Amino acid sequence: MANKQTLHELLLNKEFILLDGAMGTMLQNSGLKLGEIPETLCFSNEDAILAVHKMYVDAGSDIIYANTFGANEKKLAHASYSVEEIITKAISIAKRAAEEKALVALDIGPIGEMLEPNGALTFEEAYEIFRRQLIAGEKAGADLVVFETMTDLYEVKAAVLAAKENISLPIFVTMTFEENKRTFTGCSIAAMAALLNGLGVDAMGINCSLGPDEIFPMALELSTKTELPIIIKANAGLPNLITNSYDITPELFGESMNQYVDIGVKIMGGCCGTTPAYIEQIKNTLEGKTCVPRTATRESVVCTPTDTVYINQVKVIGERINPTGKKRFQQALKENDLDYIIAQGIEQADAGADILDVNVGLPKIDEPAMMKMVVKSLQSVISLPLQIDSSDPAAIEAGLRVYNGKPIVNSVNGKDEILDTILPIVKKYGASVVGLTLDERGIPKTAQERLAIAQKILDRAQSYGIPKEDVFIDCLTLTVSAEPGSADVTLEAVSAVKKTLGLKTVLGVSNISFGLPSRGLINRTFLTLAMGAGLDLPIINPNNRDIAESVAAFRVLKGTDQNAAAFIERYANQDSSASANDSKETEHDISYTILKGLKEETKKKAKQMLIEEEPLVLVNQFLIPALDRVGELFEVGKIFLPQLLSAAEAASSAFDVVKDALLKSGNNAPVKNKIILATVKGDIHDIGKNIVKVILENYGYRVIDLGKDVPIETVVETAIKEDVKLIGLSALMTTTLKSMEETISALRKSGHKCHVLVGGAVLTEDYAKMIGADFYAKDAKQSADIAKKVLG
Amino acid sequence: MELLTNIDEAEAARYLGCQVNPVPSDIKIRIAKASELIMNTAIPRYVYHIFTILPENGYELSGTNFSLMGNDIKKHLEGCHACVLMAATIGNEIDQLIRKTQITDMAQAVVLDTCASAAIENVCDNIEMEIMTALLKDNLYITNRFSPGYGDMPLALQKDFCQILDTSRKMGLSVSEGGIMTPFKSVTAVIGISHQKQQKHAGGCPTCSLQDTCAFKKGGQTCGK
Repeated sequence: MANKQTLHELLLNKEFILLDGAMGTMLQNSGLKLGEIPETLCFSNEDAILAVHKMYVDAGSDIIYANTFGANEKKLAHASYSVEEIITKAISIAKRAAEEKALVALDIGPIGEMLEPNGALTFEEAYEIFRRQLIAGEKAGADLVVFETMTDLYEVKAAVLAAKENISLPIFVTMTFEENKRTFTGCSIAAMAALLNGLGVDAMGINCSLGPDEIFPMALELSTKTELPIIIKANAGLPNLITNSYDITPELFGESMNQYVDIGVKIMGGCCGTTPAYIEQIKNTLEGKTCVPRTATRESVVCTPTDTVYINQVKVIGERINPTGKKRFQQALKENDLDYIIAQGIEQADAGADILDVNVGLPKIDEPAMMKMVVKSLQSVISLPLQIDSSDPAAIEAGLRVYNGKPIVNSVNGKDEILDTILPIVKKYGASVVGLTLDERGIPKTAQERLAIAQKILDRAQSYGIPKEDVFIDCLTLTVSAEPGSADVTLEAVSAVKKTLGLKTVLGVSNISFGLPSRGLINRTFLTLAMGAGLDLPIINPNNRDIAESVAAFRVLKGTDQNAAAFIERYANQDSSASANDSKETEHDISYTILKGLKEETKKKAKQMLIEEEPLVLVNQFLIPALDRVGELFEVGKIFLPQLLSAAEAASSAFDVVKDALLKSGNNAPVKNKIILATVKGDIHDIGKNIVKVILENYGYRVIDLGKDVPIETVVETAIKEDVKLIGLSALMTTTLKSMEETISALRKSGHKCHVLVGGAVLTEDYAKMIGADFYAKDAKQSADIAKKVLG
Repeated sequence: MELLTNIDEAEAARYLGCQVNPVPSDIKIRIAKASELIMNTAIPRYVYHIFTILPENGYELSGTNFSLMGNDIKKHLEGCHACVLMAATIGNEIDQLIRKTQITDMAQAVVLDTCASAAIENVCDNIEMEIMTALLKDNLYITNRFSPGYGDMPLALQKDFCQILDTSRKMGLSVSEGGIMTPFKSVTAVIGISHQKQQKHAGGCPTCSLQDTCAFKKGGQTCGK
């Protein structure tokens, strides 16, 4: 190159872009010790770094990666140089080596600590860590930023957002996959492509982990999922654990890159084990060849890292995470009872939903904060894609920002103000969007007018850069008893949108039957008609058997359920099992069903007993004594932890029956005192705390569960704000006992009068005293005894 | 090599505090169900690396700037000229499974947790066997595993082990600031290598990190390892 070109010029003008090879391998060959921080060599052995870069430039690299892979504040915590110092120095060395012949990339690898929900690092913290590196890199004069060797899609999202929002350099992203085409955290190639297509990077691809032949099938898959330039940086074959060397020669490596030329890969280099000789061989391979043009299939797709849902046949959106008309759900939102909300999600996932709608709008709650919390919590246990459902743009953005993958936004409509507020957010986060066919004038009476609004929504979305396949249209279901004939209009509109505009369609179904008897019958008949008219995404209750059956049958009839395999698997043995359940009589008394952990029978029994007994009599004379008996058996070693817990859960189903009865009669359930439970700052093992929670709740205490890795201030503030007299803290690791001690001391200092109860595998009675706790509980049963003593 | 071959159901029952014989049938059923699920969900991965020990440099490992700390590990490595550092995990999928089950069925979650602990032990046993077989060809013998947190070897060394073995990149295992390994069900360990046959002198309460707090020991029992 005579004159240095920008990356965009390179992409336009050159057939192929050649990257560099390994840095770490080269440094180890020159004496870097294992476990040392390679980035500090920029200061201690500048010449070695400069020499490696120069060799790559001489070998023909168009872009070299600066020695900044691990230059983040976590990995440099104990280094003698700051993030900024290392990055500035590393980029300056690389630029010196490049001499205007190559571009210099700010190279950023994984932070090295696992993000939530698997680890303790929050999405927001990860964002800040990347931000610091990015700002330093741009300031130091990097030409582009490369995020490489990534295995966690959530971390990739934090990284790319940090880049988009803070610097203006081009962005490359490559992730590392194992032979099963998944990353260590389970992320698929399709999910990577869906997220990065949406966020808008300059190129994406695959690096590290495997050799060029093993990576090829993955590159092939990726080439059908994105139209962006693809990057491949393979290892020099597979590693030998004993000798720590790789098994492919430069010649073989170069030869193997030929297959990538054929599928239109434009950007190539080498990863672990490769040297300048490998880069030269790639250069030889590429000599005189042209980059094959590619076209990716444009598909309507939503995803999480592990689950990709293609909207290529009827897919069910579960509607149950929504407080509208549901007292119990509203109460859960008010009390931050996330477990209840998540349980609604799990139930729908198990019932066969493909996507879950998430609506947490309720007067007087902080909807953006709640949306963020619920999205994160749902994604910690459920792998289905979500549909963020709100009319509040701030809540939509809060949900989109922390969502891991590509979601749907529900919804916009034909009003200009709404379109121009929400579509830019949808574009920014690369989501799909549902457009309702209504506007300033209301819901049109004819299908043609609804189609016109759909057209307007599509045009506006495209003007913001949202591709057509990401726009779904909801033609709106009206109540047929109030608006006779409206069902027909809706069906006509669905079919018109599908045929004329070629867009996917969404419909909420159950609205149709308000005010009629046998609503289920109307719902499922309408659903069947709508699917026949071209409905792709019914928003329904998947737990409802009739509805689920209609969808399953439709898939068979349409031929999308091939050989009716899914249908047969689901329904072949259905009749016998259903009748077996129904015929079971509840013969035992309730203390027996609780002791044996029989949830359903306990529930039935409680219902029966409520016909004759007052709710409080049931609680005080039957449920509590049964639980006490279970506790005694546990204490003397006659039953064990799983049995104690299943008994508690059976009792809990009876308490739910009591609560419902009280709510119906207009009374609130009597709530005993509140208890805070928290797994201390730094600790993320929370199973012990959750065990205690199950038991305490069954004794009627209201547990305020602050979760895991809880900041000290949060414990203190909540204790004061909610005036809680008993605080339970858990820690599982010797390394986090310190933060337990600090939490106790902060509670004492605050002057708030309360008792502190501690527990966890590494704690002892003596140690608990030493760190200032009032009580030590060796197990969940003891926690309940202590609660009784302190709170009554 | 098949890494996860078996979940010791008796061991899982012991972890649950269930030391009676026979194990109650409902617990047995739960364990069998959980074991099957763990076997199908786990994605075991591992790395190891062999180092020469430099006792004159305070038990530094060759090619690193890292030294093994604590008297107990030195005792454990008596007569060993080299050692293996190893790390193993059964994957994030197990953590997610346990998290999810805690919401729907706490009792089963507890059983899954203990079966997962038994599973990672089995994975480590198999890796140890592989190493043993490989080294035996050169007439080398190995000691048992010794992990950070055993005896007086600090738990904090887990982080160093992971850094030296580059576990974050090679097997998706990382250590948080608070010293917690993710995925949870992971193990790091040292195995000594010697020219002489080794007594398997690790194991038992004296080398266990839980020796001060162990629920079995408090009740006058042992976990049997």
